[in-house]
Amino acid sequence: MQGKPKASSKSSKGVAASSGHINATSSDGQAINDKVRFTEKTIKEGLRQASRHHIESFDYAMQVCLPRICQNLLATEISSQVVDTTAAVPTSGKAIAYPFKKMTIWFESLELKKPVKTESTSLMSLSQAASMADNDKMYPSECRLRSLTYTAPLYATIARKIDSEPEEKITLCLGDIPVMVRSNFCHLNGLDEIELVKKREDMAEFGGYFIINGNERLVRMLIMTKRNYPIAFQRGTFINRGRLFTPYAVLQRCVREDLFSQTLTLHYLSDGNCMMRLIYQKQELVFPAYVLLKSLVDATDAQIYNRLVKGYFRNRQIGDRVEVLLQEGHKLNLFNQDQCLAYIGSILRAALVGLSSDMSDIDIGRFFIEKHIFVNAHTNTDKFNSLCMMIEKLYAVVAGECELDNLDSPANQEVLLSGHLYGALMAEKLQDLLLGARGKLVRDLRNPRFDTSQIRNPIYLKKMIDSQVSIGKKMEHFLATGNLISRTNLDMQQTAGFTIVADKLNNHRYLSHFRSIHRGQYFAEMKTTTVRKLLPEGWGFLCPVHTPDGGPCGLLNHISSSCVPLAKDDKNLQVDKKSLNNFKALLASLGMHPISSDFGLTYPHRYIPVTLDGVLIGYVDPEQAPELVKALRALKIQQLNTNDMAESVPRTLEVAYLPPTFQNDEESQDEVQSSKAKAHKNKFFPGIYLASTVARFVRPVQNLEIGGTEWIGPLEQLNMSIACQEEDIRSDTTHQELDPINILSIIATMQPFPEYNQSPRNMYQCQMAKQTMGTPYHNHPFRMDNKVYRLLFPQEPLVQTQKYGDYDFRQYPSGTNAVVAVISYTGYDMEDAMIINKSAYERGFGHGAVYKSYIRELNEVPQGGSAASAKSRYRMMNQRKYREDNKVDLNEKGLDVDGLPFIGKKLEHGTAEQCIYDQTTAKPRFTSFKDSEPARVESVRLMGDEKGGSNAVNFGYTIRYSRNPVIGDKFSSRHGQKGVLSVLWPQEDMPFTETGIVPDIIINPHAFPSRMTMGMLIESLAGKTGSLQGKFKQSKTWEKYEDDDIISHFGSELLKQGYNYYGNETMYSGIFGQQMKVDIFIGVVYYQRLRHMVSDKSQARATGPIDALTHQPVKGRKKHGGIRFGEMERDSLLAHGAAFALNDRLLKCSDYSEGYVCKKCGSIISCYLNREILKNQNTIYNNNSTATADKFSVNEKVYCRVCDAYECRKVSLPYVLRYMTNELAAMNIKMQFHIEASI
Amino acid sequence: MSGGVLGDDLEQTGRELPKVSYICGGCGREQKLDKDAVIRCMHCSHRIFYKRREKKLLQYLAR
Repeated sequence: MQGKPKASSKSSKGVAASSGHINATSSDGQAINDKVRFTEKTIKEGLRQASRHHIESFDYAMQVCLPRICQNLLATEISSQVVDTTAAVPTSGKAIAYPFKKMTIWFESLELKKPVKTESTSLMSLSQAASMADNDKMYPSECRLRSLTYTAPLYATIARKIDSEPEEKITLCLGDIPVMVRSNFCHLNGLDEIELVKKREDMAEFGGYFIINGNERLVRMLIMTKRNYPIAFQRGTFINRGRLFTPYAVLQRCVREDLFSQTLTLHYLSDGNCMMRLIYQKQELVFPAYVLLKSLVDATDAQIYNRLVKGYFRNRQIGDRVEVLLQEGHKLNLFNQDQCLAYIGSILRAALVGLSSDMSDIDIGRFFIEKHIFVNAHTNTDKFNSLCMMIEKLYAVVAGECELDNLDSPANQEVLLSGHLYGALMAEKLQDLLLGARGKLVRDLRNPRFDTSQIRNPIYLKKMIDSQVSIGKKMEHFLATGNLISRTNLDMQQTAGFTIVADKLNNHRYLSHFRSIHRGQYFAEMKTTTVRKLLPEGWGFLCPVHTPDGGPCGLLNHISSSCVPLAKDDKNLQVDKKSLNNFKALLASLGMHPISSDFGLTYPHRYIPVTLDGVLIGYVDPEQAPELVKALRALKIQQLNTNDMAESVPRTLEVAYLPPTFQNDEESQDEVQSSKAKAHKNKFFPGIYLASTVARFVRPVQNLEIGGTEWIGPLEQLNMSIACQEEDIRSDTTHQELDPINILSIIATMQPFPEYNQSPRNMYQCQMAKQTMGTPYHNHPFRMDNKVYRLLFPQEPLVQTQKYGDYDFRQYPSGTNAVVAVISYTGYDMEDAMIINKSAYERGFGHGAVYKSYIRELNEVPQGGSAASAKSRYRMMNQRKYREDNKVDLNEKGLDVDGLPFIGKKLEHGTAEQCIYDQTTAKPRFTSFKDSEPARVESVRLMGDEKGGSNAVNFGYTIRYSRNPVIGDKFSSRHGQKGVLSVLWPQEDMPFTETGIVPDIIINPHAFPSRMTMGMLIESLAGKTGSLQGKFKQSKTWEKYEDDDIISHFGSELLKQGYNYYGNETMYSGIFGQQMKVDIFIGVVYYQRLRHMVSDKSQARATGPIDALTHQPVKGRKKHGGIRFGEMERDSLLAHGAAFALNDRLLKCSDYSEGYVCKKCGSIISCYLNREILKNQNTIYNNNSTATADKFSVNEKVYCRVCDAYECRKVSLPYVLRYMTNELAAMNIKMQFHIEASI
Repeated sequence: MSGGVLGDDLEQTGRELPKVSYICGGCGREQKLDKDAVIRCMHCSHRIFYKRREKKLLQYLAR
C-alpha cells in the first residue's frame, strides 16, 4: 500500500485505504495460525506491560506475602478452661468434659496452585497437581466461553497440637481461589505471542484481571494514605469526638509486610494532651498517649519528657504540653510499664480476637501492642520512637512551627493495588476459617451425642475445616460484586465498589481500566470539590488530562504513562535484617547519628530525624543533610555491588528530604512566638523520610548531578528541582524529565497535536476514545462478551503519535481516515451535525457490527427448586423420534436437526431460535427471538458440564447485528469534536475540488471558533500531506518545529505537493457546478465512530404495555414503554392554550377510564353496576334492538352502596385517580366529587 | 411417553442416520454427537463444541 500513489486514489478512498496494509506483511510466509494473520509476530513492550502492576501485585501477594501471612495468622486455641470460665454455658449447669486440656490449630504453610479442570481435581493428589498434563489445565479462554470462574486450588498444611502430644499435620485443599490471568499462577504466564494465540488468546493479552463467571473483572486501583508516614491534618468534626478535642490530629497508616494495615490517629486535646485513636474490628478505641508511651518502654516520666522536649526549653509550649501529657498517668493511677499494659489488657480482654484464656492482662496488653500499634515497626523501641515522632509532629503543627499536610495531595498518598487488597482479604478469611473451625469444635463438644473419641482422628480436623464456607467462594464473591465483607474492613474507608468489569469495547477503554485509579467511594458523595482538584504534586504521576467530566471528575484519575505503581519490592529492608543493618551502617557512614536505646542520649532539637518506612533510625545535622541525601541518591542510581552497604540501597528507594525551610536557631527563639514569625514557619515537619516498601508511585527522571535515571516518588519530588525541558535548567536544577510527554496517560498520548487545543477538548477526546467502535480483540471466536462493538473497516490513522506505535495501538485501530471539508453546505451541517458522502458510506465508511452473546440452558435449574426434578425434562432434538413423533419440520423453521439455528441464520422478531424436546409433555418447545432488531447467528456453541451428563448442555449463542451508519449515529474526530450524522448526501451533489476530490465528511465551520480545537485543523493539514506523500505522519506532543511554526512545517510540505499552503482549495458546488467564492479548508482527519447509535436509543409507541396498578404506560425502552410527558412539557402546552392536545396526551393516551360518580355523595368508589338490573335491562334491550340511544340510561342504573340510590353518573376519569381514591379511603380519607354538566 | 414400543423402533433406525457433526473447540476435529452423548471431545476431552456453518448458500443483501 505504501508504494501506491495515494493522491490519485484519495477521492474514492475514504475507506478501506489501509485494509491492504494488514495483508501486506503477512505474505512473507509463516502463518501463525491458519485463521489468524498478524502484521507482526510480537507486541511492543509498552502494551505488554500495561497491566504489569496488577500482575506483579498478585504475584507478590501470593508468593511473597502468603508465607508472611501464614506466619502472622493467629493460632486458634481451644482449652477446657475457656468454656468453664466464660458465660458461654448458661444452658447447662455442668461443665462440659473436654477430652483434652488444650488444643492448638494453626496454618503451617499455604500454597496456591495453577488452575485445573474440575473433573481432575478430585482425583488428583497434591503431587500430581504439580505435573499436570496440558489437557487437565484450565485455560482462561475456556472459562470465558463457558461462563466459569478461573480458579486454582489453594492447599494448606494445617497443624494441630493437643496437650503435649506430638504435632499432627494434614494438607488439604481450602477451595478454588480466583486467579489473576497471566500471573504466575496462570497457565498463560510467560507465554509469548505465538503461544498465546495457540491458547486462543489475543496476541497482546496482558492479563491483570480475574475471570468471574465468564466476565473479566479487575480490582481498580485505589488511592490510600501514604503508609508509615505521619501526616498532620485538621478536620473540624474532630471537636465533636469528645471533651477537649481539637481539630488537629496526626495520622499514620501503619502497614506490616504481610499487607496488614492499621491506621493510628493521634488527636490533640486543647489542654495539651494527646489521645491515640484506632479502629479495631469497626470499633473505636481511644487511649491517652501516655499509656501507650509508658507501655512501650520501661522509662521514667523524666526520660520521656527529655525524649520529647529534647532540650528545646526556649519554646515553653512544648514543655508545658509534655507535662500535661505525662500528668495523665497520675489521673489514671498508672505509673509503670506493667500497670499501663495491664490497663490496656483489662479494657480489651473482651474485645480482642485470638486471645487464649491463660493470658494475663499484661500479656493481652503486650499482644495488642504487638499486633495493632505501629505494626510496621518490630520492636517496642521502634514503636516508641514512632509514637514520639507523631507527638512531636502534632505539637509542632499546633505550635505553628510547620504547616499542615494535605491528605488530598498525591505526595501523601499511595496506591492500593489489586493483589495487595486481595492478599489482605485472603489473610482475614484464613483467620476466620480457623476461628470458624474452632467454633465447630466447641459446638460439637456441646452436643451430648457427639463422640469425643473421633476428635483425635485427623479426619475430624479436615471436617472442622470443611464445615466452613470455602475461601474460594468468599474471594469469588468479593470479585463478582466488589463488596468487601470483612470483620475489620481491612482499614478501608469503603465497603463496596472495589471491582469493575474490564469492558472490551475497544483497546483504549480496556487499557485504561487497568491504569485508572479511584480516590474512594467516600469522596464521591462529598459536597466539597477540594478533593477533585488537580494538584501540582501529582505531576508526572497522575494524568492531568485523562479524567472524566461530570460525576467522577477528578476522583477517577489515570496514572501517567511513565508512572509505575510499585507492586513488589526489589529489596525489602524491613524483612531482610542483614541488609537493614547494612543500610543503617551506610547511613551512619554518610553522616547520620544512629539512635540508641539509651534515654540519656538525646540529639539536639534542630537535628532532623531520619526514618526508614516509618521507623526512626537516626538523626542528622541539618547542615549535613543535603550531602547525605545526595550521596544516598548516587548510591540509589548507581546500584553498586562493591560492598554490602552500597548493595543494600534499593533502586526505587524514596529519599524524601523535607528540609527545614526556616532555621530555628537559638537567637531568634523569641521571634518564633510572635505572629510575624509565623509566616516563616516550616513548610514541612523536617526530616529525611526513606521508603522502601511497595504500593508507592515511582517514575523515572534524569539525574543531572550524578547522571543516569532515577526513580522518584511523589513526596521526594516536592523538594527536587526538576527541569521539564532543556531550557528550564537553572543553577539549582538537579534533575530533568526524560520526556515531558511522560506526564500524560497512555490514552492522552494517543491524540495528535493536543498542545494546540483548548484543554477541555483533550479531556473530551480521552472520554470519546473510550467510546469508539474499533477492534476490541483478535480472538473473536473464543470470546463471549455480552456486547461487543466492531468497526468493519478500521484504518490506522494517517497522523499518529509516536506513542501510538509504542503501545501498538496500530494492532487495534478504531477509526477511519476521512477527507473532511470545513464548509457550510446544504444546511444539514448545522449544530454539530455532519454530512457523510453517500458513496463513502457505500464504500464502507463507518460500517460496524454489534455482537451479543448469551447462554441458554437446556435444562434450566429453577431457582430454589430441586435440581434433580428439572434435570432431565428437556432433551436436544437430535433424536429422530422426537422430530417424527410430532412431525416437526425443523428445516422449515430454519433450524438444524439438532434444534439449533444454522450459523448465518437471520433472526427476526418471532423467528425460532432454538427447539428442544420437552419429555414431560412429549412436545417440542420452540424459543423465539425476542429482539425487534434483526440479527444473524454468528456462532453457536454446545457446552458440556462436568457434573451433569448428556442433558446438562448449555447453548452459547453469539448473534450479530449489522450496524451501518444511519442518520443520528455519533461520530467524532480525535479532538473532542463530536457530531451526529444528519444526512447521507449523494456524491454527485457534494462539493468537489479542482483535482476532483470529493469530501467524505462535511462539517460546519462554526464548530471551531468557540472550541478552539486548532489541533484538528493541524491534523487535517498533516493528514493531507501524509496522504499526498503516501506516508504515515508521526507527531509527538510538545514536539518542536522549525521556528516554532507547525503551520509552516505542514504548509510548506503542502506547497511542495502543489497545494495551497493553508490547506484551502477552490471548490465547486456539486449542485450548481459553480465555483465557490471562498476557498474551502479541506484535509484528511481520522474519524471515530462512537458507540452511541440511534438504533439502541430510538423509542416510540402508540399503544403498548401499561402498568397494572395505575394503567399508565410503563417506562423504559426495553419494555416498549413510553416517553414521559412531564411537568415541564405540560407547562408548555398549557402556555400555548393547547388544552385539547393536553387532554389527549395526559388522559386519552394514558390512563383514560370510565367510571361512575354518585351524584348524592360524590363518591367514585361506592358505585357499582347492579348485575341483576343490568341483566334484566339487557334482556329487554336485546329484544328491542332499536333503543341504542337508551343504552346510556342503563348505565345510570348504577347503584351507590353508601346512599342506597340509583343516582350515579358515568364520567371519564384517569385511572390513577381511582387508585388514589382507594388508597386515601384506606387511610380514612374520603374523596368527594361534584359533577356539573359540561357545556 | 405414548407408544414406547414404537419409539424404540424409531430409535434404532435413527441410529443409522447421519448424526449432527460439530467442531471441537479444543482440537478442531469433527465430532459427531451420539444420542445422549456427553458433550466432551473423544480426542482432547474439551467441553465446547462449535456448530458448523450451514452448507446451504447464504445470500446477503449487498448494502
